[in-house]
Parts: sequence; C-alpha cells; structure tokens
Amino acid sequence: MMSLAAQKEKKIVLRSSDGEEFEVEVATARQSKMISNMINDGCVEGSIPLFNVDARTLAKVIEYCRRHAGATRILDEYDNPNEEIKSWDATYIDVHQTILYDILQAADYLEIKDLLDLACEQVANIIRGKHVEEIRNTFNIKNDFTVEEEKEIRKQHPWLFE
Amino acid sequence: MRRREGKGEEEEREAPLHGDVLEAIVSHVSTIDLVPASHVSKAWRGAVLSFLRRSPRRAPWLLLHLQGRRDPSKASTHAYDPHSRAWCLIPHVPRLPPRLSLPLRSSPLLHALSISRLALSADPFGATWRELEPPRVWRRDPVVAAVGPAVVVVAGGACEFEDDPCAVEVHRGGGWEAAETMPEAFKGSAAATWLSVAASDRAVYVLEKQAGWASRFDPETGQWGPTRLLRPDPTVCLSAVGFIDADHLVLVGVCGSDSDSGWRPESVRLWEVNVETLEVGSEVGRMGKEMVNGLVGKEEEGSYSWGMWSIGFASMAGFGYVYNPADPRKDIFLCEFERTGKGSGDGCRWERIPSPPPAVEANPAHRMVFRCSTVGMDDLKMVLRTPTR
Repeated sequence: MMSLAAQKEKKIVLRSSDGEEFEVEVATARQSKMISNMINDGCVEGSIPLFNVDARTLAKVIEYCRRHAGATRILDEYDNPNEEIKSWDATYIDVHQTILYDILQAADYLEIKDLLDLACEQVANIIRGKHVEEIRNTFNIKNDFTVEEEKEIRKQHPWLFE
Repeated sequence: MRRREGKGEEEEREAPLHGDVLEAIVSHVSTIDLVPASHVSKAWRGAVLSFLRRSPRRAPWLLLHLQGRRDPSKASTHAYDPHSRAWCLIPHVPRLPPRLSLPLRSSPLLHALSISRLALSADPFGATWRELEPPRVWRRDPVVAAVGPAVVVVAGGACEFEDDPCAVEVHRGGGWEAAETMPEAFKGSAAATWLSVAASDRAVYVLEKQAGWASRFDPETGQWGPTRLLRPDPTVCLSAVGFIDADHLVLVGVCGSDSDSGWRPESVRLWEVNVETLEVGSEVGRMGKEMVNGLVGKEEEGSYSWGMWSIGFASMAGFGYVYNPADPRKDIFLCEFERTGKGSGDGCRWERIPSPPPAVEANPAHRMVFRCSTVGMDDLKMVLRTPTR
C-alpha cells in the first residue's frame, strides 16, 4: 500500500469518450471503485479510456472526486467537516437536469457510490409531491401503458393524475 | 469539447433513467412519492415493485393526529416515514362514508366520540371510519381498543351524575354490554390521559402511567385480572406499555432520582412483560442520559419534572417510538428491537428522529394523539385521493 503522500504525488490519466485527457491524483481517481480496482490490478499504464463518459461529465465528476478525496483527509484532522461538505454537495448537484442524468450514469458506471446517492437524492427531490403526469413531463418519459391499462389506473386512482 | 445539439433538442430528450440507475433512484424516493412513481411507465412500475420486494418498507410510521377538541372529526395528521426519515403532512384526509364491517387495525384506536355516535378509524391515517352507537355511559376521555372483532371501551367516564369513571363496555357486534368495572387501583386515574393501553388479539392491557398499576381485561369473559404493580426498578416514576409485535408486551419505565430542583429523569429502561401473569421479565433495552435529556428538553434545566410528566410509547412490527406526550417538539426516538435478542439490555438499536414540522406544537385547542402503524401502498393510495370528488 502506498502512503497517502505518495498517492498524492502520483497521477493517473483518464480519457473521456470524446478523447479529452484529464490528469488526476490517485486519491481522486480511487473515489471510483471501478478505477480503484483497475489500479489494484495494475492495469493503469498510459491513460484509462472511459467509453461511457464524455468530457463535460468527466470534468464534473472529477470535481466531485477531488473535493471528496480531500474531505476524507480533512476528516482525520478535524472532527466535523460534515456540514461544510454537505453544503458543498448541495451546490455541486444543483445543475440542469441533463447534466444531472449524465452524472447519474457516470456515477453508476464508475461506481462512485456517494455521488450516485447524491444524484439519486436530487432526482427524488425533483419527484417530491408531483403527480404522475408531472413526473412524466419533467423527465420526458413516454407513457407506455396500453390505453386500457391507463384507463384502468386512472379509474382506480384518479387523484394520482391531477 | 464536443458541442451538444441545440438546447431545444436537449429538453426533448427522454431522461435516461432505467435499469440500475432507476432502481437506485427509487430507493431514495420517499414512500409517499412511490405511489405516483409506480404509475409513470412500465419500467418505473417494475423498478418500484422490484425495489419493494428486495427491501420492503416494514418499519411502522409514527402518526400524530391533532384532533379538534370541539369537533374531533376535524383532524390533521402528520406522519413520520422512517424509511424516508421525513415527516409529511397528510393534508386533507377525506372522511369516507362510514362502513360497518371494516376491520380495525390499530390499537388503541383512533376515535371520535359524540353524544350520538362513536366513530372508529379503520386505517392508520383516519381516512376510513366505522361507526357504532355511543356507549351507554357518557365518557369524556375513554380508552377505545379493538381486541379481535370486539371493541372495548374502558374508563373515561365523567364523575358527574351517577356515571362510574371506571365503567367498561364491550361491543361484539350486537350492541354494548357492560363488563366488570376496572380494578380499584385505577379509581383515581380512569381516563385515557393517565393510562397507557396495549391490546392483543385476546386482551386489553391497561397501565396507570404514574403509579404503575397494570391489569389485563379479557373481553371474552368480561373480567379483569391479574392486577399487578409493574415496578421492576424502584426508581421508575413514569411508565407505559406496548406490544412490539403480536406476542411481546414491553414495559417502558422512566427511572430518576430526587434532586434539589425536583424529580430528575435519568434513564429509560424497557422490560418484557408476561402477557398472562403480567410479571416483568428481562430487560430488552435502555436509553442513556443523553437521550433522556432530549426527551425532557434542555430549557427545563433546574426543574426537570416539569419537562416530563408522562411518557409515550407507540410500537408495532418490532419497532417502537418513545416520545414525550406533553410536547412533540422534544426529541422522539425510534427503537428497533432485535428479533432474538433477549435479556442483553442492548437488544435494540436507537435512533433520534427529526423533529416534526413547526406546525406541530402543543395547542390547548387540540387533542394530540400519537399512533404507530405499518403503512402499505394501498393505505397511501387511499389518502392521496383528493377530497373534492
């Protein structure tokens, strides 16, 4: 196991699906379980290609990982950086919905659990208090129930649609 | 960096919420929002159902009903969903027309009593009601409990006229029948305010919160007994009882000591109670000083006993909420009992729940009723019905 200082020194290159390269610290990269596993397996020679994450999203994800890799270290030194990181998270995730979707998918693909939780929580907040039709409109989801099924649901639960 | 197409087209894009990501999202959605979410599309319905199959939301909700004292049917309900760790206001609980045969679930029952009728809630939120003719003895603050198919009304009688405050009546479907009056030990405190009540499929258990006398009433025979003083620890000053599941009755006792500034609560201990003999068995849980301070409230330092004159315990399905019935703004704790852990003293896991919304406060115009109930999707669909139909 490398010491923290050594990890901080070492850099890794991540390549987005659209070919842009990002140099990041090992501690930052390790926020992703997928990349962390790759580092452990010793397969990080050269750059790591990430076929499912474009540059805009990767930059945003790295911003999160960098902040949280730092936070883990701060946690050892101070007792309660919780409030600070929480408010940072809240600002970070307050983004346009399309960016939010990209973050969701990237967090899922890269296995960054805390980021996935943060993004899911944000979607759950968007859903809060909405009726069925409002949820469909918000996320642009096609209603694929058959006319009969839809009629039946509306008959049973008209209040869900107002 | 690659430029995306025009903004307009982005807005049109269907949100790529499916598979693992959709399931992850669903796990963060509050229980009440799962109902509309399950009707969005087939994929969403599948995600909700598979999520609920994998992690059923079994823990009971804490329901706080604020009933108007003048018109008890005018109530608002605040609900705490332990899965979402959030309170929600159940805004307009519709009063559906009363139906005779609804099974009654919670016990003690949420009820509304007037001269002409006794209405009993058949669901956790107070949306569906069953009506009975009023008991024969007029009561102000009775205990109403369902024991299997029978409804039992205990105590709460007014002392004026000839009415006996300790009168007991049982309704098995054919009308009210008088049963044995409550044991002598309850004479001075025969009203719901001073009693803690638990009911199983076979009996009602009544505990006098301050003195600690408890008794068991069997509606089948119409008889009380045994009657016993539940004081497993001499420092217990306040207590309550509740069934944590179908078979296990638990006694909650606030232990304290006298200090210069009055009685001072120090710990809360929980013991199992034998449902036949009412003998107190092993300790199943304990709350430390820190938590008790939260229950009592800090501003009362210097005169502790003012901060706590009663203890509340609402339990079901292996969980229990401990609260201060005098003030819902004090800390409320949720306890998860270990299924098998007995006698270890730490057989339960505690969690302080978030405070209810500011609208919930002690208000003399309201009667505050705490209840605890498991909540299913069908219950939620019912209360999400809009009142204007």
